[in-house]
Amino acid sequence: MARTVTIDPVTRIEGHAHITIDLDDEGFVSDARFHVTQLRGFEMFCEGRPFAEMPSLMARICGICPVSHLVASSKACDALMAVSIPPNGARLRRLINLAQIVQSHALNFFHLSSPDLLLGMDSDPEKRNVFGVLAQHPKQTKEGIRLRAFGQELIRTLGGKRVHPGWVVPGGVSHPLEEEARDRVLAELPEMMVIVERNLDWFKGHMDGFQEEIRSFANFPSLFMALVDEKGRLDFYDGKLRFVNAAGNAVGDDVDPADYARVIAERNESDSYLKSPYYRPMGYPDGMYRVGPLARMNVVESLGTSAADQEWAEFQQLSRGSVLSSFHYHYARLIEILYCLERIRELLEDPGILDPHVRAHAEPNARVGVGASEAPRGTLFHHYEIDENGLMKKANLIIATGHNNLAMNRGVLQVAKHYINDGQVDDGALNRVEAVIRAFDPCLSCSTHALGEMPMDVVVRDAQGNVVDRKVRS
Amino acid sequence: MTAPFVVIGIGNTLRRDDGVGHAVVEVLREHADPAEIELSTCHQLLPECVVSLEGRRGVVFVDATVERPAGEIGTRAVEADAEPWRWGHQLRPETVLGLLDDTSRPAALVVGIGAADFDYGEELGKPVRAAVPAAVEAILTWTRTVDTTAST
Repeated sequence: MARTVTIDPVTRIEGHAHITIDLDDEGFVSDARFHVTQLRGFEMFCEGRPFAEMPSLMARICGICPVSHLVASSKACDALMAVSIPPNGARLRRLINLAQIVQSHALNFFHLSSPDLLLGMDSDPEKRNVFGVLAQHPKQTKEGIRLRAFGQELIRTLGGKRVHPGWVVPGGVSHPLEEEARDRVLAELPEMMVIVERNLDWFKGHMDGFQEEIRSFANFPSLFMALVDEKGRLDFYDGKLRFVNAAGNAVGDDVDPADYARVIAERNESDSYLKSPYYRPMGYPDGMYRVGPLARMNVVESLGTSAADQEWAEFQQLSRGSVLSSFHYHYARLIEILYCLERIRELLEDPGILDPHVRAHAEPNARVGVGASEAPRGTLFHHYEIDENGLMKKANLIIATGHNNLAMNRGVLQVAKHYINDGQVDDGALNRVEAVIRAFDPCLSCSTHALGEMPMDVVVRDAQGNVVDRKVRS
Repeated sequence: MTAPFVVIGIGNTLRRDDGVGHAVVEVLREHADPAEIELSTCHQLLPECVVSLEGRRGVVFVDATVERPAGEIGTRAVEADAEPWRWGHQLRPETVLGLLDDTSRPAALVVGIGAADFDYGEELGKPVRAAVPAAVEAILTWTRTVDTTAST
């Protein structure tokens, strides 16, 4: 008899979601879906607010990556003011964005995903959490906690507090960096480099134990998107959009983020509050693309720092084209932490980092502004329209996790089909269905934003599970 | 150089009396020697606390409690709890200590201050505010004696 298996909630992710797996009469998977069950509504309740309030308002979207929203939102406001921000304002924004990526990546790898990687996908679910890992692998876990704390402390040093700092503002940042604080951060960097290099070695040494997961975790052709600089290098703060295909060839390049709507279309699904963007020239669903650490590794021509570039070259040996398995988001995440630490050192060693001129001031000079940056989970867009008084008329946010929605859904189906057969559904199989989602590191608090009127599919069932009524709004 | 003691004020400063742990830490800044006592605050205890407590002689957790009348102060020694814990967003002091190994586990004290008003706002209620100096004194006294056996 056909039945539906539900995983509710999906654990060790940011936000709230569940997964449904439909089994056919023979007990084989016929469909699987990732449903995001929370809705935020930030686009609506910012309407009418002065545009300069947007960075602080938008930062409240998320407690994990508020800095990413501060950066993208402030860039959108820069565009509304039509200003070029002072060079050191840009340096300092880059710095806090890198700190954000270090702490967020460390959170995913060590707190959320390491229980699967260190204890095993089939380990005791009672202990398959950060505390179980801490008990069995205390050194590695504490290193991860130290790494995350380093990123958080750098955010606090720059912005005044670890969560929701108001330091990134339209026109730049609110105040410069002090020399003593710079030296303190520089002194900690060598230890952090050792931690991430040791964990990269550990991950590469243990990949053989995850060959089945590598084969089945959202491992399929798709496009990949990220920002790159003028030399095609990794750029978390600025740059142009590039799309590459599974073969590693660019199919869209040099796209100004302000023109994102030319290449990205958005679509609603009836069973989720998460939008499903796709690459417009290829249509839905063929235009499915992935963003985030794996995509960035696939899109760039180099990373731009020495140690990270060596790791990237080794990473590229995994495939002749793009690396397709989403299991390797973990690998890419560690390489990106290494890159961020190197870039943080470069920025802090730049004498200009102490320049006190960090902010430009202006009234609004344009009615439309788009800000884009690379958040930990991928490319983030803030698109604002204001009226003649500088009040918000409209906002559209496209969040990294949303870009990955089509791929996450296909990944859930792929894993479910691989691990669930003959109606046999064990804990290890269900954990792997969750783990493929964790590999993407979705932040659902960030990413549930409405696109007009939500489509709805309401199904009413009786006590036996029979459908007695159904209403669809498309 | 790591200070031998750390005091952690726990709570939400936007919910009135719940922020008393932070208020105690702020007053401690005027009285405690930073070389001896490190001060920190948080909304709730997180796994990060485990790393920051390693190798200390003592830790004091200062928090609001509804188990006492507003303004009444109680202290209790904390024993490590080794039971599995699955809720990563909020740890108990006992759980934090349980995640440290025997050789790096500090003596620990909870200072609970009776609280009653958890409405929106940043002001402490009068009895809770009045209890802050006594809580500070209790902490300073404990760090001088490191008596983990008393429970009042």
